[in-house]
Amino acid sequence: MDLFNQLALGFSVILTPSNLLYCFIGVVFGTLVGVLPGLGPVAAMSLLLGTTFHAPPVAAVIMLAGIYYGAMYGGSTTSILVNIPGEAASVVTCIDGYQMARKGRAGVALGISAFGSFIGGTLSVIGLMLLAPALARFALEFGPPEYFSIMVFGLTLVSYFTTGSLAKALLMACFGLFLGTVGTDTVSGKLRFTFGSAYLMDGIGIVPACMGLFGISEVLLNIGQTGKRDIFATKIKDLLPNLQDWAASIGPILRGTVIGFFLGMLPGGGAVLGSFFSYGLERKISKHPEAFGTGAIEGVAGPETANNAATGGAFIPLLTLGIPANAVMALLLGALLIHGVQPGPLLLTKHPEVFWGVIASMYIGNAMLLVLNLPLIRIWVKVLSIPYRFLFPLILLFCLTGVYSVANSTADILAMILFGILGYLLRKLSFDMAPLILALVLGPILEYSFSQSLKISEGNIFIFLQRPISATMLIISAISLLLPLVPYIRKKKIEIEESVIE
Amino acid sequence: MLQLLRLDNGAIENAACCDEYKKRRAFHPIEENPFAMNADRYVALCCTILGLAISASSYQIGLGNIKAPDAGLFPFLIGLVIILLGLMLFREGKKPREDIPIFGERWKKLSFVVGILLCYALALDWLGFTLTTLLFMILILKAIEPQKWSVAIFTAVLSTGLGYLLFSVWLKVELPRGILGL
Repeated sequence: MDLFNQLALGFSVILTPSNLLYCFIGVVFGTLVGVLPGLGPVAAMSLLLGTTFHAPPVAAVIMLAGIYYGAMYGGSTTSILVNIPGEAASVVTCIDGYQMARKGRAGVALGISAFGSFIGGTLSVIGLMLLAPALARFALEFGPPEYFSIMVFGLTLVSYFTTGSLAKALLMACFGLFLGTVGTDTVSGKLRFTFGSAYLMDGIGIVPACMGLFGISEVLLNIGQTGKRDIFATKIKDLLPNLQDWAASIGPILRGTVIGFFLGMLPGGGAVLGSFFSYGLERKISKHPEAFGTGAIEGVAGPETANNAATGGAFIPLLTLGIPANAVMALLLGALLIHGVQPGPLLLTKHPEVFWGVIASMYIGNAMLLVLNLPLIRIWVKVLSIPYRFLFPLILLFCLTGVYSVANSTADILAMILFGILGYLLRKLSFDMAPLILALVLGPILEYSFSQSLKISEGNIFIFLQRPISATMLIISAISLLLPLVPYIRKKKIEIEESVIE
Repeated sequence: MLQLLRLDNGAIENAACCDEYKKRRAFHPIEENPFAMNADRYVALCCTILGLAISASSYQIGLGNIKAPDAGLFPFLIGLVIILLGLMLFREGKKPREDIPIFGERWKKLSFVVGILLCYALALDWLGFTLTTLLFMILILKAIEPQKWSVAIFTAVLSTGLGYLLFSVWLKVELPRGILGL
């Protein structure tokens, strides 16, 4: 019954006009971003990061969270109608979704996506609600060595799950850790890597860095690349799937929920991995595997549910341990830290209204999204036809004003532009940004845990291996680093990824 | 499907790029010169040098000792790892990769946009939010993909107005007022 009271607290937080508005804006913006190819949820959250600075912390998290799972709803729209994924977690939906559209079943595909997303999203929030408090209690036992090892574990796994070179991902992580050291060291007061600049004395701000790396660089990458998009001009009639469709989809939906939820919790996992896994699984266990790729509804229902379920799962490490599982959560962590809210096991005791408010907001947000995505689908399709040449100046303007609004500082704008150029170069050179942003946010905390651990152990560096939880995390991290070197494992990983793509 | 995944934009942040897999499967002739350079290897070299620089400066900041770590210890260790990773990347760069042009023919547009952004930052305090934003929007809309004057001005006014509404009125941010007091 304690759960009931806490949930009631959460609903009392969300059911205020201003918080509802923030939630609404978040999910609408998220859907919009999901629909538009070229902007992912991380970029969108970065864009709004500056504006959330002026809102109360609960509202900020509610809105940013709304963007995340909203984008998972919206992403399916372009995948199905245009064969272009709105964002990474909807790549797999293109395969069968677009084929369904070509066969005149676009409406059903869109409908089952929306319903699946709703079921996956809601069930994962229930899972979050039930699991998180227990995990938080467990995490109260954690000391600095455990935190250090979990963060290393998180960074390592995020790098491991990258597509592309592991070395490059780890380099990004280390670079992010380095950037986190720039500024005044809180313990000794010494200046590190500031090159005499007063601006750098405060360290590298998370807002200019994110907005530059994701917002500005995104625009730079897309400018001048005019591609004509042929939107499937289909009569989107029946959005409601019939009984047969439901019978075929219910299994994938339920399986997708479980897969997505657990993979979402895994650092480096998240919505993308969840959707790929679900597709692969459905195809493997299907009685008609040859139907996949020609418009099998299971190929849409499963992945779309999984990517939404993953959003719920991804919140667990953040809210209970304070460890972000992917780039989106890292951004959320950054936003919370800006507001002075420290996520982690103490969040439930110190700021229960934040935790339960966010949970309640996710229930409401999912409901809002179901309503938004079904009847309003035609509006989203219209949005798709806005030419990029009008969109990108708006995005730039948003970035410029947004970053300025944090500290009324034009230096922040300059920093953002520099990060934009850096982000552009890194992407062109095939570096994965997720480890960078995770490391940038975690860096200071990681260093602090490291020094504290050494102080506690009085110089014994083996403390990390002497404590069981810490040792387990480090061993898993080491295995995941060494695993790619084993040629067999490497081949298998590539094979799995390739087989899904084909 | 191959077509789909060739997109170079950030929407596919984590999804696999088809080219990578085609390359891995293709047969590569044995390199005659083990130190042949390509884009990836230049990057690896830069990373190694960066790592050396980081470690060197950290050493100067002071490492302290294992019982009482000083400010330089953590960055020093990071620098060492970067050096190691840079060397690993160099070794990985053996296979010549398809050189995707970093800038290509778009470099003029890109430099222009970056230039305009920098000017915005520098002019903001001087000219104030309203004027700077109007000029910025008009310039961008005319220069990158030229629009008609009427379209450009209309969009500029609309977006500046919306921006003002959002930031100044709703979020109550202090937007700079510049010499004309706008």
